[in-house]
Amino acid sequence: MKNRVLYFSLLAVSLLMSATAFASSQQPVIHPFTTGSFSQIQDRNNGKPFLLAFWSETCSYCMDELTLLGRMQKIYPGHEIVIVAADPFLDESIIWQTMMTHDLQLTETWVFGEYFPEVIYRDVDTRWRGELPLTFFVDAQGNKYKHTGIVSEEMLHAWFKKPEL
Amino acid sequence: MKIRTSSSNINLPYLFVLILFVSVAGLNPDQLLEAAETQYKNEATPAVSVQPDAPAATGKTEKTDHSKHKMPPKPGGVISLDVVEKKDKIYLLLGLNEQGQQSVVLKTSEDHGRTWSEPAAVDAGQMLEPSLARSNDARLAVSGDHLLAFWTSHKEGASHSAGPMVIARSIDGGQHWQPGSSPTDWDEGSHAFFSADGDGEQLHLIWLDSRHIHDERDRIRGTQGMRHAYSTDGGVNWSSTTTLDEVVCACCYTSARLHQGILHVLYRNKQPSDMSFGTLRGQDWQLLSTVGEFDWFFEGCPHIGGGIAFGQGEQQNHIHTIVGTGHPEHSGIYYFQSEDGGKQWSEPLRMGGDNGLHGDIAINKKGRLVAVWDGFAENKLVIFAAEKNDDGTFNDPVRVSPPDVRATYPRVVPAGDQFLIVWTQSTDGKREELGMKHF
Repeated sequence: MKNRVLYFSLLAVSLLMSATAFASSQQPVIHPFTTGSFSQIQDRNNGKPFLLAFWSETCSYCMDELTLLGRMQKIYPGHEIVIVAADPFLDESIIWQTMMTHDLQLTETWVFGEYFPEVIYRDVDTRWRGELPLTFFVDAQGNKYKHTGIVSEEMLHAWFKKPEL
Repeated sequence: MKIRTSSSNINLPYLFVLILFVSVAGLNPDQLLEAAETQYKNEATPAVSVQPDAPAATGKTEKTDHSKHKMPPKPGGVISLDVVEKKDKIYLLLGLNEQGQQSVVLKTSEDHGRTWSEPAAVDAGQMLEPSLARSNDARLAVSGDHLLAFWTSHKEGASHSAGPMVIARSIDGGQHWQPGSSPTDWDEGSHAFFSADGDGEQLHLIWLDSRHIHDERDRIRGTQGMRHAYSTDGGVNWSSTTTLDEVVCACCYTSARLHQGILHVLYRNKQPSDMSFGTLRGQDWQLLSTVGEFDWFFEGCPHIGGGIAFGQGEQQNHIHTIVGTGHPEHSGIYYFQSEDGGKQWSEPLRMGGDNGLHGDIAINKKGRLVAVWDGFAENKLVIFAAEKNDDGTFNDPVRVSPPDVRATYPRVVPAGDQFLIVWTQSTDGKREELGMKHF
């Protein structure tokens, strides 16, 4: 009897740990976003257009924009979306929870890796003063189109429907 | 983008075999977890931790070490700051964070900021933990010998971890403090972005909350309501709460100053996100004007406000303001003057370049006017100050913060013939300290 209790207890632990491990495997890798990171992301995409959105956990507009992006990802699968948390060193559990809440299926994401965020602001765009949300549309030629404030659904449809994408 | 899986995953088949093995071996749960962790450590590749001192990501081969990636605590040191000058005495309300414990203290100076009293514990006897941050600072009202301090409490699990307001009251000029009675009749959500002032007879408090939002769909995104309550007995009893403006910027600090018995309020409105100005005479609220009609339609979170000062002597009807805007074509800090009680304002005068963020303004007894603001210089934020000339222009801005620090959120008050400028500064972002300079 004692052995059966032990067996089922271990089985339960095994299932629980397996579920945890499985959930962990779905969580995106988190990279520190510092000066030069935007250029590196652009270089890595090597001419492939992408959308890059900065968000913060204290920005309600950003949450709405992430919801929109999650929806767009379903409609236009395969299109490149990059998400950057603009809260320095934001805890990874908050980042994962935010992405899960907004149904964003990404394999990696980014978080500000500088204590002084304005250093990154200036590196990303000399006129950025920290306003959020901030979204960049980067086309195949490397041209960057900046939008400050929440993007509209129409704007996103127009971007993702571009022939080059 | 190439798809890559996290390195921190536990190998599932291995785990099952391990579980079966220990079930036979009779290991206890601790041994089981230890064994699994050992497997994880052995398989994990060298990682890049998202930590303060981590090298910049190359975005190519690094992997996050989930076991190390934790958000660092809030910066230590001074994380909230308010300053008030009344009758030649300067009151400095500081929010501190030491080993994760936040507290609120008051220091006073009777020699224009040259020497300071020992800190008094403003949060003595409070039951709720503070939730302090620059821009949503703890605020102080001085009304004769009655002092009141207000700040947002910490509430676990709440949006932004923000809870109801905390009130502290002193009846001996700030030496001893005890919990005060609440001005608000609604505590189902958070209160934030306080501004307060008193003149010995009346004491006013302005704050933002979302009491009328019963359904998130009713909310205009990024807005809260601006509330007001007043007391005529030093904060023992409060008026009922009134709403001055139901739709204002949810994340921008406000400024409220009493002058000639009238409460003057400067706050960021919505649609557009420009600064509005109104007065409260008794219970009569009047929204008078927009200070800086930039037509900044911004669907986002600016986190910037403004400051108010009043003329002296023959110019006591003059109102002076500093406001910030992030309008893409007009961004920066601007000075405005009104000679008709705030109905009309002068043409905008930008202070410094286009990168000013947070500003404040003060006038001393001799009529000198000084504006202060933070702005970018050499890739970091620094504090600037400029004095107004008789011809309406300003002197060239002077940098007042030290060269080796990042300094932000300046405030300025009269200090005898001079001014006292205070701010928070840091060399590494891990610890903030009080910066101070006479000007």
